[in-house]
Amino acid sequence: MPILSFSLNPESLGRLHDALVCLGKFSESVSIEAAHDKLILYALNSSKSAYACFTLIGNRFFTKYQYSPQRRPKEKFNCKIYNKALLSVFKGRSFDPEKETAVERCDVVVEDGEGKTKSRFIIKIICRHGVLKTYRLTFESIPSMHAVFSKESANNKWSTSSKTLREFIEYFGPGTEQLDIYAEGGRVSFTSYTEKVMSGNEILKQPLHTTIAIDIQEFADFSAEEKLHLVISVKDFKSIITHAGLTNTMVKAMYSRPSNPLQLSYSDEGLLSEFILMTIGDARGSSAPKAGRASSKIISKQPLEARSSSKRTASVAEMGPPSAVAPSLSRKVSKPSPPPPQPSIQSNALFFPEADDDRRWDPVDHEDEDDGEMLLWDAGVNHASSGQRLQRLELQSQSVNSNSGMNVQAARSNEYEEVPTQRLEPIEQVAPTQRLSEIRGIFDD
Amino acid sequence: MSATAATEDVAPVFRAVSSSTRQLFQLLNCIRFSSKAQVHITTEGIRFTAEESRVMQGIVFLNKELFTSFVCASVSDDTPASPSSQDSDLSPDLPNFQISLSALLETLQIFGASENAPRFGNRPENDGYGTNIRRDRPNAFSNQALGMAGVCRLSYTSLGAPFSIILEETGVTTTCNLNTYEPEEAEEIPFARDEMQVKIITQARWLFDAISELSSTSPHRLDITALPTAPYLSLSASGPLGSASVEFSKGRELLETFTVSERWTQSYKFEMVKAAAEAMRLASKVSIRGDNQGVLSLQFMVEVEGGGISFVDFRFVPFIRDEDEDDEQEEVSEEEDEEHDEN
Repeated sequence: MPILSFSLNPESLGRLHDALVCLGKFSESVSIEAAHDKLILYALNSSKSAYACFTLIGNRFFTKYQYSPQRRPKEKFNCKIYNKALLSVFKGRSFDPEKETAVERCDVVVEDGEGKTKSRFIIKIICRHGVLKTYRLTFESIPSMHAVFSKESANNKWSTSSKTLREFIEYFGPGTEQLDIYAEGGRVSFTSYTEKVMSGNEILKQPLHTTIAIDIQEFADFSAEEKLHLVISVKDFKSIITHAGLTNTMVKAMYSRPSNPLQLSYSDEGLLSEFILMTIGDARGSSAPKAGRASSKIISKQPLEARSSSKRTASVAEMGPPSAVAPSLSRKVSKPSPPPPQPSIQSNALFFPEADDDRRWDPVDHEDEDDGEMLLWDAGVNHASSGQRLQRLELQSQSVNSNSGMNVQAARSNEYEEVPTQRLEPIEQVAPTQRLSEIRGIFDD
Repeated sequence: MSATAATEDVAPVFRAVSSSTRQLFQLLNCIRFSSKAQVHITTEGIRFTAEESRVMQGIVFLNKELFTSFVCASVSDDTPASPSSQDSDLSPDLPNFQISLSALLETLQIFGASENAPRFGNRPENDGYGTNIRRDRPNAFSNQALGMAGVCRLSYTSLGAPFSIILEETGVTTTCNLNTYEPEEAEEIPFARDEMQVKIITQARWLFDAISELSSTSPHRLDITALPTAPYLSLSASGPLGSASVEFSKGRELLETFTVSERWTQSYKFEMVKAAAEAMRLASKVSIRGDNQGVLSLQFMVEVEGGGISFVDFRFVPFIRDEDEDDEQEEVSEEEDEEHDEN
């Protein structure tokens, strides 16, 4: 008795392949969760800062979908498969019906045998002329693990067409690392940038900025706080938009504030796509170079340009004295409204005083950073029910160590339902209760 | 490979001229899994045999129809040999030697190089002129299109002499002398045609598709099963990520000839069968045959442009099976008894 069986037509097969390609950009393995009405494919990247999830609706994406749990009726089935194996099965088959080896149908059966039957993910591809290709892939059973995103606290929203975004990503400079999304005065600018990387006097990487400014009119809907810098990884954003751009759909973004997750979602005929990306702590203008040393690595990730603009504009901002003059030592996790930055063109980032460079590159010392306070603690954990706390803390500590703040929660499949209802407290209220160094040793990494 | 001029004092044992070098290259490319090849020159054509660890053999027969002139001296004055005399052609006085196959293939690739070279070399400078011509499209002014196809002369003077190839193309002459080596008297992998258990003729692209499908699991072993009933023919392989199989369950539509009396199943080294993939890609039809010892013979019928039909032949020795239904594996090196079958 198979635990799960479903059938795909050639068109869905192609879309499944596209989704797998997208997941492959986040992680080398794909986690699969089956429920009675839907199949979820998801991946979490190794630093736990990005989570990609595709929900395939049972009766719309598939021509046939049947899930029969083995023990309890509400139970979900979870497994993990090496993505390369799946990709080679669903690999770029051309769905040209003229071709002799064209695929007619694809049947998938999952057997998770207790006794005689082997546990295999069986994919049968039926081609023309009755050629039958059968794959039996091994899988690993895993606990369900999803990233949570609190929609209640996400008061910033915008949405736009995937085709528009697709055009934008083509302008992002090659090799740039971060993407800053910023709205001001009726325009939204997407800035992709790279910091300058130096080793001694040798410049390993030149700073690079590309800014695209779009009028808010281009967006289908825009209700987001202005003057808020949202910084994510260019690579993740590109991977997502490349997939979204395959179809003409509406991409929705939701976020609260920097250093809290950003959610991007879109849907297309029975396929719901959701991505949760951790945003980098608001660095632009809100912190001084000295402060960077005291707190986290994230600060060191701010671009060169940001610093220059923060200094120049500090007097304009409502922040008070320029931070470079009077460095504040204890940096708040986030500030609601950072000062307006200068357009990047005005920045003379390439010509920086020596002294600044020195100070700037101090905090990059990765070894030290574990001793520093990582102010990435998330409220979700403290409010978890006591039974789950241990497991979640463990995960949480992992995510802190890996320099991300993604609130990853391990939820056994039946617990998962409750998770989204948890409200995240405003982050200022949650002070770190322990130093990271104290946590070490209690839990294994 | 040396570029000295060919000595033309004595009448060579073998001389041949061909204007279809590309076809020669395509055919020989099918057996490039081995670096050296045995060469047998007969009055009917040239036979190249490549082998791997005595368990895989690939044979390409270049029929004299592929050449505009073909002279094999020792019997050259005789009447054109009748097809039945072919077997006796392998008499010791006929040229028989070893040659570096990779060097030969490289040599044949020089053909057409004089045309391509300037384009590759001067691309940046050329940019202002002629950039509107797509690079890869067939050039209307190419020598091929203008019917000025180059000519390739093969000759072999005597025992120990180099095998020389002279390529002539629009006034450019390239002379290559490939060293010949002592022949190795490698026996053919014996294939018992009178005890054949499986004979299937199908389109080669089905086999190519199946093999490339299976290679995705990076398997070590390929299992071939033929059954008198559905699924008729099944190829399967398993690797570290799982297993995969391809079945041809609608025999009628796919398999032209299907002669299987009882269940036949054998395993082969996947990498070796995959080495024949180039032939599968090139050929139009394949005859899959298996004998009672499990030796697999794949004969590919290749229709080369303008050159009629050529055959590329592969033989594979199976793995010994633990669950011995039928097969005691014999050594490959039995006495040399088999006649070769190119046609």
